[in-house]
Amino acid sequence: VLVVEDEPLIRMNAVSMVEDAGYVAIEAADADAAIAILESRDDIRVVFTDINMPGSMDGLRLARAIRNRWPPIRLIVTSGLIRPKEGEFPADGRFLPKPYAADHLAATLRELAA
Amino acid sequence: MSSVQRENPVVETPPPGETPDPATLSLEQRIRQQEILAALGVIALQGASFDELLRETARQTAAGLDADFSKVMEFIPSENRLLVRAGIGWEPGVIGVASVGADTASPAGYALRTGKPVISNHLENEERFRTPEILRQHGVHRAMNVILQGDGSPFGVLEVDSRSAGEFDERDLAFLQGAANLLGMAIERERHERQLRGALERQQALLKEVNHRVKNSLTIVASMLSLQAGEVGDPTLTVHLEEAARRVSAVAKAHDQLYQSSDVEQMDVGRYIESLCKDVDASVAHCEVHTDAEHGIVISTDNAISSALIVNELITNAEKYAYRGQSGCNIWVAVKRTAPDRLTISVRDEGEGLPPDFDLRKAKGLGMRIVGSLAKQMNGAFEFHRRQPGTEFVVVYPI
Repeated sequence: VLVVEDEPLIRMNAVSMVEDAGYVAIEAADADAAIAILESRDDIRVVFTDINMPGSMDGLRLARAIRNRWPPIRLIVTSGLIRPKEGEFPADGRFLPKPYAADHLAATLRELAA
Repeated sequence: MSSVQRENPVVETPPPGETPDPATLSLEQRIRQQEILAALGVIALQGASFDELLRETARQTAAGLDADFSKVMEFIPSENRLLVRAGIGWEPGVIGVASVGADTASPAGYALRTGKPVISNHLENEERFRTPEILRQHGVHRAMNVILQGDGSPFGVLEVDSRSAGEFDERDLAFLQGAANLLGMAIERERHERQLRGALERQQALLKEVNHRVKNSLTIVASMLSLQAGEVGDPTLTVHLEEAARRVSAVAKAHDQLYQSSDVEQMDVGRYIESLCKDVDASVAHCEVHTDAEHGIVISTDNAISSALIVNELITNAEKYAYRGQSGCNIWVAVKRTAPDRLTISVRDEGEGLPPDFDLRKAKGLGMRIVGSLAKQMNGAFEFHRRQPGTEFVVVYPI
């Protein structure tokens, strides 16, 4: 699971939730770093990304880019500010509002990875 | 003078001693009026103070019309009167005090209500309007009134009065209206600026309030964690909850600092860390925290909060591992600008040194991971130096 989040403490927390749920977590601080990681390895099955991030792409654009270039990867997007409308992110993706609970993230991961 | 010259008065220079003909005089006056309008336009655009602008408009319009008096009157809706705000030529006790009725029976009121200019060249015979008392007192023969239009409601009326015989004509009126329009524009701009300033002040007050509330909410969260720490009955859990309470308090402290400052984007990192250390020093009885923080290093609020969290973690770390919770522990915190664009934060103890095989990159403790992660976020370096005795942890980052 690739965790994309600019805020370091929140990223640490997300990584530990993903690991506690039984998955291997990789981390990226922004969309560009995430793309670089996706280009360099082929074992990522889920990308869990924040929407509001500095850099050339926000989380929604990252999600659409991943859907185009790596169709098998499943997506979870999260935000404390924005509630994306349907059609704003890939139909098979999931949205988790911030703050998210570990149980909720774990359940979503299980559902997508199944 | 030949007849050819008389037909071209524009270029004619009258011979010395000779009285210039009326056409030349009139033309000279028009040119002067043009110059005055241009000068008023510059004053209005330069953003002169409001009162200065009113005074200058009164002075210049009187000069441009060879009039004895001039006044700028502001409409006071609650009293339905026009108050003399600025003027020229009047006896003391008129400016800022005298007013005329804003009903259509007074020439000024008529101009205000209808937007139409009013010329009264023979006030003594005036039957359309009642002549205001101040004009009578000052022996005014003729008057001209034009509206001072704002964006929405009119500001008031500009009036020019003269004691001398003669007549104000259409061209004089055009000049006066031109001056009034310039002033109207400037007044409108001033109104907008005042509204903007008001909005900005409200926004800043709101921002202050928000920071105050965030601080209060975080303080409540810290208190709850701290209460729970005392109740939980398990010493390990108590330590964890106390650490959590302190982390939350460190962030609350930032909002306290922001609440007291006018800038929320940046803050003085030295003062912030100093006050944080004072709190930690007071709350941890067995430890003394010595702080040496340079003041005046203003950095982004995000980085200041990260820096405070780093200091908080490193103090906790020293207390827990270097001194193993023993009393009589001393911790030295320093915040210094070590190069024009470089900030160095150091936390030093004189406790038990680190194990010989200690590797920062492999450190598993939450505190070390938090510090590493925050330092990386600021493009900084996190390192440690073995001291005799003790350890110094250093975070250096660009500012």
